[in-house]
Amino acid sequence: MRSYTHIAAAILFYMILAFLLELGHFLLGLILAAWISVFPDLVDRLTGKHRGIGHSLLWFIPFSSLFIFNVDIGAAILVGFLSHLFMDTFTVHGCPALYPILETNFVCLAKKRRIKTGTKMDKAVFVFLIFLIVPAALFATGNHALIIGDEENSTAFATRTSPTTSSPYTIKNDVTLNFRLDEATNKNVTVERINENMTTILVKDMDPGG
Amino acid sequence: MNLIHAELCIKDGKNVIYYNKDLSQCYKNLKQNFTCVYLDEPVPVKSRLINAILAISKDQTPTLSRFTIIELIKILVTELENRRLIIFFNHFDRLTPRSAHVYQQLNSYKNIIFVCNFNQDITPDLYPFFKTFELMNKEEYRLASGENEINITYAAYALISGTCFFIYLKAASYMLIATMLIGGVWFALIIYRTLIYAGGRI
Repeated sequence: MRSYTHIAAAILFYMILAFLLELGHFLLGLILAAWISVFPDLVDRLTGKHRGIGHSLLWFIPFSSLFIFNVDIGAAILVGFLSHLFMDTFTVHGCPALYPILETNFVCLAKKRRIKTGTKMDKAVFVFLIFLIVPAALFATGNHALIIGDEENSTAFATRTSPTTSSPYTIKNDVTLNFRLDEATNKNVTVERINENMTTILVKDMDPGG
Repeated sequence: MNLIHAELCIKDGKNVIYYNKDLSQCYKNLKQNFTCVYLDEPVPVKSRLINAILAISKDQTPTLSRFTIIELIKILVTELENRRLIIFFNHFDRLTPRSAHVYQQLNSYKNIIFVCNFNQDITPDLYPFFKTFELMNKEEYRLASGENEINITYAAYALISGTCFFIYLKAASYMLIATMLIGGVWFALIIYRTLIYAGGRI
């Protein structure tokens, strides 16, 4: 696969991880994941053997040791590296993940359906990843309300703020109010105790002016 | 095509086979130095033997079809005398067990060498004959046949589905827990099913 596809895949996988685990240093992690996703090809270019030592899971050991210093950065680098290996398993020749112990290639899909580097299929995967990156970015940056609506913020809870007294009637009088504020207007809540057996709760819309 | 290597193998008396290559180039080069016969297809074996005899024989005898295969082999060997004959044919994989047996009989003569190609998997019946050949493009065959690879398609599908399950749980956090779980499992299964449909079975 071309480097741009690997970068797109690394960005997507890091966004998903950041969304699931609520990782910090989002932008730095994104840059690191994108950069490290081309690292295997760079190493193989230096060694002269493509799909060689650069595509080996041996790199997992030094990369995972970065967790000691910073979890966010360690996760970003690890995701960037593993995304490259994962995406390469979908190519025709696969990925020799256990090189140099075992030169066997790990592959996905039937041979005819695998992706040839530089072909239209490669570019199609890139475009598909870009389409996935857009919603992933919204979720990872906390802007998912644009997609699923702001339902969480439209529910208000009203509970008694004064400390509970040791009166024998405490349980009987402890009331929790739960409002759905679909109209997004402020409410005026009045609780009036008529007698020992009756309490009235009035809910009125507040005027915008006051 | 590694013609120098092929020529060295032929000089050593080894049969040569190519995976998914056109033999015509090899034939053009080798016919200058050796007695060569180019058979497009290996079967039917009797007519191919007649073609070979007619190609090397000085007398054009039109009555060869009356002879049996064993007799034709004897005629071919007699006509050859001590000359070295190289028989080219395509589609080694299309050999039947019976025709392979006839060619193996010819192969028992040291002055008859075969140069072939194949495009598909070799059936177990042909392996004894196939083993007498030197494969010229081993690396190409290894990559194409996929003999040295581990397919992790279903593990990858499960990984993607599992990730989608967690994304769904996280994204749908405002829903009730039960709905979330059932919906998440359903969603992951749909993803897995779709991947099998789109990615194909192995």
